[in-house]
Amino acid sequence: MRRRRGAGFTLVLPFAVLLVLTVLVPVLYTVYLSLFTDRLSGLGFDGPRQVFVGMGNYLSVLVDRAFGQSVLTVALYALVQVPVMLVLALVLALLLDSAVVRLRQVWTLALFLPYAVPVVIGGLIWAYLYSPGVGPLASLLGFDPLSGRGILPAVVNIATWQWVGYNVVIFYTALRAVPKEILEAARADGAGPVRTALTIKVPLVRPTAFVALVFTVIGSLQLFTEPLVLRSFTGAVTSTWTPSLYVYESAFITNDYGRAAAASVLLAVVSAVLSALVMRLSTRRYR
Amino acid sequence: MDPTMGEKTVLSRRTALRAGAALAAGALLADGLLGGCATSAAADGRTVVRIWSWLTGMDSYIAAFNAAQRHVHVELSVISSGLKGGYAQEVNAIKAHNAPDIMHVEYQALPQLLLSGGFREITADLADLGPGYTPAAWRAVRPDGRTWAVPMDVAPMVFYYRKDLFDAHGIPVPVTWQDFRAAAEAVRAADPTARITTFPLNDGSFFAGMCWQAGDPWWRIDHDAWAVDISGPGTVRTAEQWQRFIADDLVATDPTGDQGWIASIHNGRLWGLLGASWNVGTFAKSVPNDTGRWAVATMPTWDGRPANGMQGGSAFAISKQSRVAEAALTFLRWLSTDPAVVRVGSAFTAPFPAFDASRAVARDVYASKFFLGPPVYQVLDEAARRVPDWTWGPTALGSFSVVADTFSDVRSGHTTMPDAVRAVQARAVADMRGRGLSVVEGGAR
Amino acid sequence: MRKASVHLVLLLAALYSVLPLVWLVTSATKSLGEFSTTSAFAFGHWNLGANVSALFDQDGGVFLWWIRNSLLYAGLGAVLGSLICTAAGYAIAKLSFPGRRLLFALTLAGVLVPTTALALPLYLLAAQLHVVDTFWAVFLPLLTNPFGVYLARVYADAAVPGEVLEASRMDGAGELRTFFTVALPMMRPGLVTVLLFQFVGIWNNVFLPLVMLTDPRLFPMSLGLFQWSTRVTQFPQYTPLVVTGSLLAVLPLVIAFIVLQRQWRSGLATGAVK
Repeated sequence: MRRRRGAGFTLVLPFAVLLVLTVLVPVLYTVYLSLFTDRLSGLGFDGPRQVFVGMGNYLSVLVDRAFGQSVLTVALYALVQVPVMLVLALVLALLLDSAVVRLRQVWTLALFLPYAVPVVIGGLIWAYLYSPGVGPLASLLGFDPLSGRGILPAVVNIATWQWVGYNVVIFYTALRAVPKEILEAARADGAGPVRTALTIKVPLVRPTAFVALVFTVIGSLQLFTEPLVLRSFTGAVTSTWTPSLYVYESAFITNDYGRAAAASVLLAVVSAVLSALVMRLSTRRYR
Repeated sequence: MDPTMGEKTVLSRRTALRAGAALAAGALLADGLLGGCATSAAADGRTVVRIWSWLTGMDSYIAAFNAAQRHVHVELSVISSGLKGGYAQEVNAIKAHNAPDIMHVEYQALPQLLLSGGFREITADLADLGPGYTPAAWRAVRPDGRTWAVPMDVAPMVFYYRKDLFDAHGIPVPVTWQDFRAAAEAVRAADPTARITTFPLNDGSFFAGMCWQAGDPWWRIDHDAWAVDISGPGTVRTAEQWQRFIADDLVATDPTGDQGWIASIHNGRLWGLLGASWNVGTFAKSVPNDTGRWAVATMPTWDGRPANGMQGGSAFAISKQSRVAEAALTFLRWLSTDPAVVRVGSAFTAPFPAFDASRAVARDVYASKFFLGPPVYQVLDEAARRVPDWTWGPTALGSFSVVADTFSDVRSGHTTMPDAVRAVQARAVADMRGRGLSVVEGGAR
Repeated sequence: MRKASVHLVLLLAALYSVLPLVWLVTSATKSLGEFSTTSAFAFGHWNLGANVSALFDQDGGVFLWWIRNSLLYAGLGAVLGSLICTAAGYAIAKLSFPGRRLLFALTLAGVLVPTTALALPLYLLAAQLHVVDTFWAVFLPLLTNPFGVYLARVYADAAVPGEVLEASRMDGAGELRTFFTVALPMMRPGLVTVLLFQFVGIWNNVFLPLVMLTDPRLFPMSLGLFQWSTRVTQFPQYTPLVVTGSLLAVLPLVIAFIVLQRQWRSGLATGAVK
């Protein structure tokens, strides 16, 4: 028993140390930082001094129009991207799973390839494809994807391109796991392939869909790399376009650590609450 | 778990793992772990000084310095230019305690970067050189009477124009802004697709340079407080004038220096440029075929009183954290005042040093035949003497981007430039107060 | 008929996925001028060789460093990280020790903390330890993978029967030996899954390197190419470098994913379904 205890400690020790040093301490430190601000005095040339401001940073973030705008952007983004991608992935997975399809391996591989592309590079590829004069898309689409109005669909498209194949694979594997007897019973009852898909297969992959949903929602809240890359190609992505960019801007461009920390905490809380909510809803409905 | 599937995949997974491990190990072997990244001391016992800069040709200056003596070895990291991320990088480094020994800082950015508390005061170390510098530069590194940086160059603004076309159409070189308007109309009349210049609405530092000339500085130090006057009479007068020029379609509003601008210069759609001394180098590099077409004149003036602003101009500050401040200072004194620097620099650019004696050398070695008319350095020297008093404030860089943001609606008519400068003033005051600085509004003396 | 339409939809989806990569290949063969003068999906005058040599010459051959760094951060990080996760997940599932529940609760909480929220405090802590702009400032935080521990625990529960462990203990093997010789081989599919997830996670992370690193010779490939891409509007000559560099960065990954198909197919699926 003692030995077992010692072994347990030894095996978790590296992870526990990492978890404390790179997650726990930073989280607590962020909360601490969010309560202070740098205050200058006089001409300011003697450098800043840290002063306690309580909830002051949170207030100034919450009333900052730029922050509200960034939250609105990702909300809108998630509202479009999440359903579009998940439905697309589910439909493609159902098609792949249908009896008539040949060369399944080839299709899944083709769909999955963008997942192998680093996000920065995916962003760069699409940025060039969007650029008028270089890529064909601006003239093909009839609107400029890098303009103020086109930019949100443009980012949605990049993320969808990158992740749809990954979700297809996940859905497809879940579909394969649906017991054969159930499907045969349905066929015996005279259900066509479409009805089987909608009434039998889809409900059975629901748990998988919810896991995918949670990860996609958390991912959308953190949206950072794609807009960061597009910023070099268009002015339509402002320096505070998403909450993550807002954190980056306030921390590393304006050096307002207190405000950045407060925004980080808010971001973390919202993302935790949202994912808990999605989890909760999914398990309840599933039962 | 399906046992048969498990077995099959275990095998190939093992291969995958091995492949991964081999890759990583190969990378390690190839280069010893993390070796060779940061050097701390030169092998031959010289003191190593680290510098961050984006100055054109800095590598050549440093090579010359390193070759000329055996005590100090300077190591350069080229960073993005200040407003394109260089300043953020410097301030972050200061806060992270890993600032280099020397940091590049333009005059316009110095007060704002001083707020980080990361620069070393060098008042006593530089006192002996003070009288040798052009007053505009010397004042700029001493915003509060203490010296914070070593001046490198100055950047007085002048008017570059197509002398060949001006002469051909009998357009006189404008002396006042009234003349300038007449000239702008004449240019447009001569060629409806051509304009006398562009007024880049996206460049706050350019606008500030234009306002500088009008004689009401955006900031002043009033005892222990900042007097902020971005919407003072001189600035509003400047804004109103350019608002009219833009509304009357007398000037273009595109950015300067990019591909589109070069094309316009090339095709003769721009007959002039309101620019700084460093544009001499831009011309030679961007439109070398235009040799013998351009000339340079001092800025048009309000009411004939000679004055012009500066746009840019660099200095170098020493980090408070530096443990080799002495060596850093040795290098900076050389860089700022040694005539050898000018000789090295004139090979690839047209240096315009802040140190008067060096500028005389620059004038003598300048051999380009690009410009017509009076010698370029004579005009620039004249301009450098005409720079009125000016103090940059602790939100100067932020104000530049607010200017650019608010001016972006000028073209469409959503706002006017005078309205915009009032907005900039309000933002600057609120910003400064929010950070705890003492602020007085308006041009208190 | 139905068969044809199903295949048509799949074909369209596959084209959507693959065409951008085709563009990357054709574009890497073009000189700067050809970007705006040739059709997007046509090959250029085969400028690939010149582009590649320009790429490796740029900034003193810094691109080679980026390749090396990416392999270190993502490759070594994923190998080491997945081992650490698997050990921890196994211990939480199969061994009892004080603080086990607390650790698992903290792990779950760790899954929920967005990485973008951690960048600032990590940066400031690294600053106080004077390790900003070093390899470790990026490597160590990315080694931590709470989700991997969660997955590994699920795996240990499912794949390692208690009786096997008991038998091993009866034979007198110590707990550590039991883990390495008995449990770890049984958990190998799980280990590979964690490894894959972590590799992709580190490979895709830009925020942390962006914040921590200023020395280009420490950059991973993504960050380096991103930095170059920020210069293209001002200096268009960077465009072929960015495109060719991207191709070289993507190619090995795409090939790896094609060759290792069987691994990721089952790996991803088990990871997500559980």
